[in-house]
Amino acid sequence: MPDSLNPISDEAKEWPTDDASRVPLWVYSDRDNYQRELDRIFYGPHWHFVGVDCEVEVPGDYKRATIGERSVVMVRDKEGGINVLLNSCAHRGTEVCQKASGNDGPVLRCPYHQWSYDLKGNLQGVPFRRGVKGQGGFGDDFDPAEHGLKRLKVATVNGAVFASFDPAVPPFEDYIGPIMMRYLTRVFSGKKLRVLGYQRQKLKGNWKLYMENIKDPYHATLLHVFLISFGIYRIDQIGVTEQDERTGAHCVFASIRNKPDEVTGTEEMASFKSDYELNDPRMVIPVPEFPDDISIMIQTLFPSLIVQQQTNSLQLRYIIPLGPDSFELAWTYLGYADDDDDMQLRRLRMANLSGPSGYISVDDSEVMEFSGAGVRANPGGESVLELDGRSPWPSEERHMVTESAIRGFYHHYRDVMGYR
Amino acid sequence: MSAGDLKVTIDDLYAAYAEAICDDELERWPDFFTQECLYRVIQRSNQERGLLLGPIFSENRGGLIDRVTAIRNALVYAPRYLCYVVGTIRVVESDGATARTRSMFSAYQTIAGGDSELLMVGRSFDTVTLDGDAPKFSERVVVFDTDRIPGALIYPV
Ligand SMILES: [Fe+2]
Repeated sequence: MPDSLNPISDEAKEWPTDDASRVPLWVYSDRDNYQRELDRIFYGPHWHFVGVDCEVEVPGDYKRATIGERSVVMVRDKEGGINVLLNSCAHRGTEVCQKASGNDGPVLRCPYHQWSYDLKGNLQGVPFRRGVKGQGGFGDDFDPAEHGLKRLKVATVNGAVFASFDPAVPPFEDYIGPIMMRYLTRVFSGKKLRVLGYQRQKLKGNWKLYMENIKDPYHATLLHVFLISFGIYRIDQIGVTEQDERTGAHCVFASIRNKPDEVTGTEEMASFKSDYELNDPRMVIPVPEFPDDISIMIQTLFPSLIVQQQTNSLQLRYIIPLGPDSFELAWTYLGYADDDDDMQLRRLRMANLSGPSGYISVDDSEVMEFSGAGVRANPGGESVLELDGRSPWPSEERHMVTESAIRGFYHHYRDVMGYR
Repeated sequence: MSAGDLKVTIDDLYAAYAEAICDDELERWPDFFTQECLYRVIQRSNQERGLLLGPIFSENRGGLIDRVTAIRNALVYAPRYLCYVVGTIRVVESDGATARTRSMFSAYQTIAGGDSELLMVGRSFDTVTLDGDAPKFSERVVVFDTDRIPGALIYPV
């Protein structure tokens, strides 16, 4: 028997259980596993968030995004359509667009040899194609139609733009299913969106640790002292867990805010403190905005998008893997185009709760690095997911005292990655 | 106040402000601001696009006190030091009662027992009130170039 804490050999790469109640810690650090994730998940038949349509308002507007490790460009064409193109010139592979966003007119032009593409990615111009004074040039068999920018499959949901490298990806609505669609379209309701800003963090941990964190209501009430102290979230508040019933891998937690005087279930929370009062409480004072009573909705879409409505703060988080040991967390903060000044100010105030200095999210980004360090050094270990049983599906009451959403993620992950 | 005296006063304000952060005496940090004040930390990429969102936004000293309370009592993070190096301080204009000032900075972070790393570089665009006992910031907008922050930004800058 090998020492279970020692690094394991390739042959030994097997899931430790026949369910997802255990996760082998090598999934967070193994190079081959990471490469397999890029191929099967990020470049495979899955949908990835690339942006919001209001970021590319008029023809020629483009915005860079990243799927896996590949740079792509979301661009609005002359006909008003949105295309997502691989940001790598068909000539020599150079990145065509360097700016995060911009508009350089009706073509995308590679700076290296000035190959130019129309806004659908078709190759339009090749300098010296016929040579110079009869010298050089491309052969007669050079067909520009074969040398466009690689075009990804695109799906939009009321302004949210998704793309996939795999033409065989299922239609987006089938991919996330009707339950997830219902929650996604609360925020992406068809109302015209406005981007309030972006935040970016680089964290030293595996990308999946962050998805787990968001699928983990267990920690919310234990780790997030700020949240607890001011009654924004408690484990005893009314909430539901929803998981996509086919994969288990897409999930929503939706909860309704407690009245501040309902303080129960705090005995076991070592970090519980209730003696703080905000000098400026405006960042936690919401106004009703949605037709239901959901004050916090956290949706995770496989593999790496988080859609969050935290009272009046609307944020998207997209995870970009940077090798097995670190990832970028890219935040997009949203409002609606018809927000009045008060609402815009309210959303800016509430943004103090999230992002790299967020009163709630700082805890998570720090814990990511603690987790990263712990799992990297112990690839032979395994993580134990048994809160609320071992099933990858939510309980009948769909309560939130559960790790079923994490199990659901790994239940699907094992299928996708071919670990059985 | 002569231009020379004003320059010394403003230089001292920035130095004392940086020392409060580097000495880990954050409890003194809100005192560098007037009761009604604007404090905003924002990435240059957002600001240049006309966007107002950034990691930290406060509209009065109470909000700054709240942040110190959270840093000390609520947030979970690895213990650290911040080395906030401020320079190129300049009084852009002054009418005697207030001064518009700006500065450049770099902030290095040292997680306890670990290596020091660059947290961010940037500039600040500030307004200083001169008519009280001590000069105080009535507005401080910290614009940082470092678009992708390594880890979290916990201490103020
Ligand atoms: Fe959390």
